[in-house]
Amino acid sequence: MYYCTDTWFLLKLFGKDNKAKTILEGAEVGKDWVIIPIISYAETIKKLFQEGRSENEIDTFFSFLERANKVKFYMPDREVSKEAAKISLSFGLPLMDAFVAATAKITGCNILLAKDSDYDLLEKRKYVKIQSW
Amino acid sequence: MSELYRISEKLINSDILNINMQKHKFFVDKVRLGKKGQITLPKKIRDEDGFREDDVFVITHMPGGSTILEKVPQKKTSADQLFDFLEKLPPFDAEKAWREVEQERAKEHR
Repeated sequence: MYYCTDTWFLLKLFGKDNKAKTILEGAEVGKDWVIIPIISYAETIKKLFQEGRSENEIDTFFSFLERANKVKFYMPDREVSKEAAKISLSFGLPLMDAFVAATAKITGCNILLAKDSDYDLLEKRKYVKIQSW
Repeated sequence: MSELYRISEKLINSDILNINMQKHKFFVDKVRLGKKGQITLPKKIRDEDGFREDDVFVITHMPGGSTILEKVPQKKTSADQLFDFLEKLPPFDAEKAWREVEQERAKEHR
């Protein structure tokens, strides 16, 4: 299984959510992959700073994520950027969400781990499968 | 052995023993051997000891017919290490943080 993560999943992980942990373990000892769009990474850092977390805590958190060999941070390239622009227009999505969804699509992820109602239409039109809890 | 089994059977059904066992964290239950020699560990044991799918066990067959099952200690995953690290930090309300992020996204989109 290939998972793409929105900020929601990363925050859940920081909040010690067991289901999120199981997904991370799947990318370490199982056959799963976890793709973290760099934009979700940035938004998570921003929120953690706003919550008063130190840079050291945040860096350590992400360095643990990187240790799982099938967790990858994904920098948007031209293809993802073009796709993001297209879906932002056709689904009326904020560009930020569009970048995350386009990353999921272009990297071939089966599931986007997200809890944003902005993605509802994407799922309805079978653009990408969303999972949250 | 059959004598021992009879005694165990009685003990399993004894309330007094169950109370004592709970106090000392003992747990006795019966399991049935399946067609291919499989047994299912009771959920209570799996939950309490954190046994998961693909865990590896050493089975020691003792003279006299007793069998001991021991989990092979596994290296901590980086997810375990991450959670150990997060455990030391102040609590974090992920759902609240997420709601705020969602509101901020909506504001930026307007």
